[in-house]
Amino acid sequence: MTCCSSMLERSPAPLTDTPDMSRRGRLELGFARAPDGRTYLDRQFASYPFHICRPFYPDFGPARGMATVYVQSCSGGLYSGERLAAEITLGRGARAQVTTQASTIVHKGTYGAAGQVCAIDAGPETLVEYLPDPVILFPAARLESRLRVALDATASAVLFDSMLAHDFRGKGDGFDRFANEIAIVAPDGEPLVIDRFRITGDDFRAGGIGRMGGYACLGNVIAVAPGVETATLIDAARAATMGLGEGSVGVSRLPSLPGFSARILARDAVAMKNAMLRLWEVSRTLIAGAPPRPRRK
Amino acid sequence: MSSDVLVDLSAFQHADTMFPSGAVSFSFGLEALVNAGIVAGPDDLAGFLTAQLRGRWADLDRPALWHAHRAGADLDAVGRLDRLVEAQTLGAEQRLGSTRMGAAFLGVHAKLGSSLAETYRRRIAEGRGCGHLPVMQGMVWQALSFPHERALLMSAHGLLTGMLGTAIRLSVAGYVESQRLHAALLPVVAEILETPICAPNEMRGFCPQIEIASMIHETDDARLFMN
Repeated sequence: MTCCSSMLERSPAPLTDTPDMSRRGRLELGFARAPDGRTYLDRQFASYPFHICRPFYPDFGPARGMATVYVQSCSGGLYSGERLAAEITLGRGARAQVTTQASTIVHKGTYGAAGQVCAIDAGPETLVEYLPDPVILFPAARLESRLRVALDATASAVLFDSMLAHDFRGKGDGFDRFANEIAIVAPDGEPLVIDRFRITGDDFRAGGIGRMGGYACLGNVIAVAPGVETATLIDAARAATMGLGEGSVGVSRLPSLPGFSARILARDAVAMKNAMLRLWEVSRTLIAGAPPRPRRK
Repeated sequence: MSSDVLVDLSAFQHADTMFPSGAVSFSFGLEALVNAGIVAGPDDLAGFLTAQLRGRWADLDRPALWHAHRAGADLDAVGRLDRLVEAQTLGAEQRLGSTRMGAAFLGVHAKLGSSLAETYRRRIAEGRGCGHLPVMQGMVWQALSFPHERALLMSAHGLLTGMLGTAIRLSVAGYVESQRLHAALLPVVAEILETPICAPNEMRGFCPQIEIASMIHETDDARLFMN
């Protein structure tokens, strides 16, 4: 393991101001490819508040057999002091989408930050789509969120990450703070793409030129596609998001990996979701050879 | 003349806009924001500069420079920082700007006799380094005996003068207004310098609107600047 990766390994720790409230949830999903090409769950474990149903197979054509799993929550969101950890692995050739049924509300952080960590390990020739709905930060919420994706050089991935704040009392109260990290690493742990920020609710509400720019929602989409010409993928992603009236979208080539990173600033969650879904559709179309069927929620 | 005075005078030389760093070709995302009508005058420009300082320099470029300064001639450690900055710069034009300025910076120092700069240039040519500007500044300025506090001031000064020079060329601010803005932003720099330097594995940034503008700028055929 390289020194850089060991630095990254240490970074997960900062669920710092979270006292041990012993409220931990764990989710483990292991996907494998059957001889007939169908992807199945060969390992699953879910403790409160996670809940999963059987995989769905909504796609036809080239993506037939790709599993979709909806991760649900029995609780009403993420609560102060809670720590949730998810681990998703894909064996050789497996293709899976993991998504949520709805947005994740983050409640007031009275007893410290809520924390969620997701680690994905995608093996050779896999396709993983990790497409959670946005986190919605309520007044005084504190959240520390990390997504770590280890990708084989032949693995494809589409990743969503998005957030907005909701002041349900309408008193001008913002969230307290939000620390967010996405890291894509090589199988040996070498960091290839890192997107890490820490913001306060005041920063977020202030908007500010150069930062939120007066927009209310922030979304990120990352697509890694070793089997697709990156320039073609980027052109398609730009064309798909051209002229979205209620938002601003930038698409650019990833560092060190074939694929793109897209940032979205949007006036509302609908506009943000629209842009993210278009980016997913064009990515899937080029990676798998056919557009995906929409997922019902 | 005391050695401290010589170090000070040398710092002025290296932080001066006369020093050929290549920064004149880059707009740090400003051109795209001007073209989009988002930055239209001095007030907007102040917001942009503050976002660059707080959202990028404070916890990404500044710690990268500081840790590279500490690493000094340990080029493997410098290389790891260089790769982290590469991994954390998601816009291709922003990566290009940072590495082109880094390459120009190294090139001048190599010509001025810095063996460290020459060695790192070879590593870049061999694909073993990217050459991001703040990392290169930390490495070379340490070798020139600038204390790390001074190196951070030089970096902040270079960023401010570079961005304000760009703003003048884009007609967003005049010469007098840019000096007024420069003075107004010095307390922001001072405030940032009071905050702790984060560890390499905590380096971070938050300028989504600048990043989006820079990404959109990649397809602007009428651009004056490279980023």
